[in-house]
Amino acid sequence: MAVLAKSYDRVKAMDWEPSYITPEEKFTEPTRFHLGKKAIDPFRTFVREYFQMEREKDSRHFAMLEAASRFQSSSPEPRWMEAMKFMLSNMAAVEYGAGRQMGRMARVVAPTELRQGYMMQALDEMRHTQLEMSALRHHMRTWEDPAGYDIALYGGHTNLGSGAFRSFLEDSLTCDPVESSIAIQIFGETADTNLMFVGMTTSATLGGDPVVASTLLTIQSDESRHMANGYATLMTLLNDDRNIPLVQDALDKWSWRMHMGFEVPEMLAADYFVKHKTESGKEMYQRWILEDFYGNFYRKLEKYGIKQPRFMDQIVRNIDWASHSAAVYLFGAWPEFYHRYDAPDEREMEWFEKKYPGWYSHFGKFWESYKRCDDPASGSFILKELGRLPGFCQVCQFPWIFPRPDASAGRRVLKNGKWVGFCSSACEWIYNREPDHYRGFKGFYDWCDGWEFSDVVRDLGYIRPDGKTLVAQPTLDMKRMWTVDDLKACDYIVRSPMHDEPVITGDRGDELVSQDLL
Amino acid sequence: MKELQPKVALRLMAGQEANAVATVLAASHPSATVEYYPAYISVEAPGQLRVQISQIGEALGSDYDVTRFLVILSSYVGTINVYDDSVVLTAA
Repeated sequence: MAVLAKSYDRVKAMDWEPSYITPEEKFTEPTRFHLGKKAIDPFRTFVREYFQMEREKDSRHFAMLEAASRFQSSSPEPRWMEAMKFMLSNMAAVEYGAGRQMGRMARVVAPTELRQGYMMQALDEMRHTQLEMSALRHHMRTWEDPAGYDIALYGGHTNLGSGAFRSFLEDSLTCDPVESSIAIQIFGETADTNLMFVGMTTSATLGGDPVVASTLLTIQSDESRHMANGYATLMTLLNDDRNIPLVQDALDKWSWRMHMGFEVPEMLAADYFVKHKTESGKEMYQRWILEDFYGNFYRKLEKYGIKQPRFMDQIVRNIDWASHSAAVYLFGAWPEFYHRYDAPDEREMEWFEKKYPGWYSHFGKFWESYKRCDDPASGSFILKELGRLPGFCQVCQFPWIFPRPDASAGRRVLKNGKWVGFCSSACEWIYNREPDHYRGFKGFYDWCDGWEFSDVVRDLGYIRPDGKTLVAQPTLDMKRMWTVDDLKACDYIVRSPMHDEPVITGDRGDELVSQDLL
Repeated sequence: MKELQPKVALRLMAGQEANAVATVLAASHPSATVEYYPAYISVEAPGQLRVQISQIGEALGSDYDVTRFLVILSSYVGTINVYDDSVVLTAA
């Protein structure tokens, strides 16, 4: 038992302070946290074992991919295969961002063990991006409708929903480098990835997509080490009492930030990307995040004086409806994406009502309209049916429709003479904490306010090779597909609700609040 | 937050090795529960789980080491420690 620990200690002792450069020059980005020299890597990973392990993982996974390209399983579930266009493309972008993040942390965070863990994680994240790209390519070559898979990497950076992912990721890339570990390794990897990368492999397998099941699980096997990186960083921080309020502040911010940016999309995927429904997004959230993470991992931090996250009550309130509200956003604005999606059928609607009592009364109308608007000949477009568009949150880039469109916590606040939109008091608190960090975020209306909708899609370029048929479709039926001309005929003009006269609902003295939402 | 008994858990990529690990752990940890999902196996226990690598090798009838075990370890709950001959999860 002692050999590994002893060798590891010997290797660690080989770290040195360079004489040719000052610490300030070496650690280019200062941190407000106090970090000692000592830390622990519970995996005690050597570079040699690391590469041996990763090579073994890759040879197993790529052997599977190779075999899958010769032996097609019985037809995979169309709903799932279309949703993977959205999911894998956005994930590839997120993993790449996480890789950049780790390079930055390895550069600016001091203890040797942590730096070594971060370096390996940087390589892991590049591996994950490539694994997701390989799955995208496999699906492009084998699925009946490659459109969307062929533009996945471009789409992952441009679709309307990608703003939410970029918002949290770029925040984590530009905030204090130690805070980034709390964002990515504690919330992203110890809590969130489990729901999708382990939990949803069941859906992938049942949906006839073993390629994605294997992709997700081999990725998550690296996350095991990333969780340990996060834990090692956090324990090093908590051993210095000066860090406790700083850690609490970062936990308060990132529990909410990752809830909106990552956990809500995961619940949406669990509820809406799966045809053969078993566990609901809410049930998966309760199991993987509330029980495993908050119940087991987070609660252990109490002995260091860490309290439950500031917005925990709002998070718990959100999980009843957030996945359905996010679905209204994703499928309501369907031409701004690159997958096909059909409305839930009768059986699925019953399932929703059973898992989320009251679902039909809140969301049934949306899905009935969505279904009515599936034929371009009808001339009806779902966004037109919905009426006024919501504004977007300056922080998380989600629309003001949470927890539920008809009971939104969104607001506009007059700050220094300018109205700023927020999805919730949590995102407003995060904004107030560092206004300069978020003030410059550009969103949907900065780009296309006042445009006719087919021009938005033309600008995105989500059009099939015939030059007129849209990549996205509001149905899985490929007989009569929507074209840009069909969309143009609907004559829908994008209009920001920020043009509407605010209805003042609160006066804070120096700030006015307007909650005149939808 | 719900009050829960502290637990530890392993989530393993389904396959021959994971089957062997689950069988060995079920025998060595009577309080462990093993659940088989389509693509992964979950082993949960209150308090502690110790994966003794030599026992897994014996069950598989082949050489086995920590590195190979880590290839199939997709996720875990608890505090992990990796040693030469074992991987240990503790709840504390």
